[in-house]
Amino acid sequence: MAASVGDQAISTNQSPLKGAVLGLLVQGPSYGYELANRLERQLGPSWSILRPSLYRMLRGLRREGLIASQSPGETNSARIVYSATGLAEGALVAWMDSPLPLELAQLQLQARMVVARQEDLPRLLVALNRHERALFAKRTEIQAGLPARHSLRAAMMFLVREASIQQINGELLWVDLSRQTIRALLGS
Amino acid sequence: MAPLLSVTQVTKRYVDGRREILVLDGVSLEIDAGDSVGMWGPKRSGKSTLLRVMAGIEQPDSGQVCFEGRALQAMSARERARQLRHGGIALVSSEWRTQIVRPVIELVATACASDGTPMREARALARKALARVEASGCADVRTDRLTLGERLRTALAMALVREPRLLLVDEPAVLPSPLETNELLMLLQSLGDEGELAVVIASENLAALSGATRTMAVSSGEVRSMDQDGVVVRLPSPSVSRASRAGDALS
Repeated sequence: MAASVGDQAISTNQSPLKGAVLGLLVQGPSYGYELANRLERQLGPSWSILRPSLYRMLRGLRREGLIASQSPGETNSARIVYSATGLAEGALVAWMDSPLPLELAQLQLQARMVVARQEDLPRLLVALNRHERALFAKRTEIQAGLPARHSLRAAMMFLVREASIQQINGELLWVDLSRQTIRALLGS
Repeated sequence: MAPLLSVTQVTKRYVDGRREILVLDGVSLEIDAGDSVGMWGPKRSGKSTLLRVMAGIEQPDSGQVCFEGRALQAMSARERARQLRHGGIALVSSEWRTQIVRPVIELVATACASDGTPMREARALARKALARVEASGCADVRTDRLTLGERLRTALAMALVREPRLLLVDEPAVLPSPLETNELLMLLQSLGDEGELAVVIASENLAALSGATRTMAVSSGEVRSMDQDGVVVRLPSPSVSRASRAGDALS
């Protein structure tokens, strides 16, 4: 039911991985162990996927009606098999479109990239552009004037401010690389 | 009132071996008197090209650049040079260097005297310009003995002594010491705070943009305003990738 899609949206305050788990299940039914392996393989070593939190996410998704599970008795499999319900697709799209809290934005974007399909690429571009703006907005918070003298205090303040600036700069470069890559995928 | 400088649908291509790169892809933007604009972009994103086109030093393949409502391309090369030299547009690049070996004060004074100002008067103005960029100490230093920071300040003084209305600065965040860079950035910020002079600073370092009241990002041939109600617009040209238009439609 299209009307209930909004209610089924995955909150971005929850783990960035919840949407990715749903995205994998939209691609096809799977079971816990395989889902964890696929996520770990695709997200790389900087993410650690804890099994208990994966099962918590699966339970949450099932409670929200986005996935269904079949216990070993019902299938030939020895494991619980999860599969996406009819509501999953809409919730996935809503998740791809949902705003990004700045602190979690990069993780959220990575999670979306892992399960992005060709048709999701324009949504990713919108999210990247929004994130770029948010990063620029954050710039104004760290522009507090510095006494331009080589004093200990000025130097330390400079280093503290520089930490945030370098971080934002690095993230901006990543956003740019992502945008160029996605455009290349879409453009040709 | 017409903006101080307007860039309309500017396109610029470069040839890279067998490939053509679209550096500026239908870029449009406006700068007003007294504006303080920060342009962020990665290396090779087209910032320098855009600044050179804005300064009238490089011609766009298509599109138009207008200074005070007059199209730069419509002027003769001579007229353009005059327009740019005094009371016009000044471009300062961190890559600037000179072959002329003379005391800094003479170099800056010569820049001022090029409009017919007597040399005596020009020297006085040059001293003022050097003071304005906090480089009075370099006045008598020979140009071949300047540090990078001093060279940049000299270039700034040469630009300011001609009383430009638009100052374009290409990558000021290049000094070897970060604290020295910081001092230079604060100086640029203070220039932007003064009266009617419009300042555009292009850098790959976000810190260089901290004084800007408007910010934009340059990459993949386009300029995106990073302010809620920036006047920068990007009118899609036929060559714009389908992706960006699909993205805009969704936003």
